[in-house]
Amino acid sequence: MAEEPKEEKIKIPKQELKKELEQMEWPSDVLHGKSKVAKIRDEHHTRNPLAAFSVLPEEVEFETQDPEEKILLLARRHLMTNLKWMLVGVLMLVAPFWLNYFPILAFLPSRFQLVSVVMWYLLTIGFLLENFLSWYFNVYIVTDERIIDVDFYSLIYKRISAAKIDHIEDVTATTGGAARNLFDFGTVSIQTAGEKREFEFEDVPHPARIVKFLNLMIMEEEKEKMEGRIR
Amino acid sequence: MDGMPLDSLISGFSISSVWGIAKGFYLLGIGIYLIFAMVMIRQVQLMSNTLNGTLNLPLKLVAWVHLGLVVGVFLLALAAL
Repeated sequence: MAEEPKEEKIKIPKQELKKELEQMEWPSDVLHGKSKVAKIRDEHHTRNPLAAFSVLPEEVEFETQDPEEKILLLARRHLMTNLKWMLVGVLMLVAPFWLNYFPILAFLPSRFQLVSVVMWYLLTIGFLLENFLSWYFNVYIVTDERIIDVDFYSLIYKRISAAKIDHIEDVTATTGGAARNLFDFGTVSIQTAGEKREFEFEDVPHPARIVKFLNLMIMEEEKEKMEGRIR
Repeated sequence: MDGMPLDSLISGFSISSVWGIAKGFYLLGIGIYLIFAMVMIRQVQLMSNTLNGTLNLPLKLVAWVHLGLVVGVFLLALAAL
C-alpha cells in the first residue's frame, strides 16, 4: 500500500511579519545601509544558463523589466520534471534501430523507407525542442521590487503576471511525495493583494529557500516604507 | 455482357499510381510539419523577446536548422519518391 505523500507547508502571514519587524533589532549591516538583500546582490552569480535555480543570473532580461530593476532570483521547474519527455525522446531516437528486428516498413520501397526514417528523426527533434522550450522559457522571477510569472501555454500564447513584493500577503511552500522530498522541489504559493490573487511557482527547486528569501524581501520592503525609501 | 465499371477501374489502377498516391500523402504530411517548423521559428522569437538570455541565439539557430532540414526532406521526397 503506497504511503501518504508527506506534505510540508511553511506559511508566513504578513501580519506576523509586521509584528516581528516592529519588535526586532536590526542587524548592524542593515542599520548601516547594507541590507541582506543588498548583500545578496554582491553574491556570486549563477553562471549555468540551464540552472533551474539561479541566483543573480547573468545576462538575463525580461520584457517588462524596469531599467533599474535587478533580477535576484530566476527559477524554473526542477530538472526532474523533464524526465518523462527526455525518456520518450531517447526511445524515439533508438526506435529506428529496432526496424532491423521488426521490419514493419519492409512493404515500402527503399526510398519511402529512407524518407520515413528521416521524418521520424525530424519529429523527434521537434518533440525534444518543443519540450525544452516549454521548460526553459516558463520561468518564475523575483526582482528587488516584484515577483513575475512567465507562462507560455501553447505554441504562441504567453502570459506575464507580476506583483509588487509589498503586495504579498501570504507565502506557502508545499512539498509532497517521495520524488519531491528526495530532490527538494515543490510548489511555492504566493497570495497577493493585486489583481492576480495567487501566484504559483510550480515544482521549483528549494521551495523553503524561496519562501525565506521572499520573507526577507517583504521585510526589506517594509523597512524601506518606514524609512521613506520607496521607488 | 460488358465488363463491370469496377473491373475497368481496378485494372486501370497500376502500382505506379498507388505509390504516386502514397507520395502525395508523404508530401502532405511533410508539408504540415513544415508549417509547424515555421511556427516554431516564430515561437522561439516570441519567447526570446520575452526572456532574453545567453541561450537565445543557439536556440534560434537550432530552430532555423530544424526548418532547413524539414525543407530539405520535403525536396528529397518531391524528387526521390
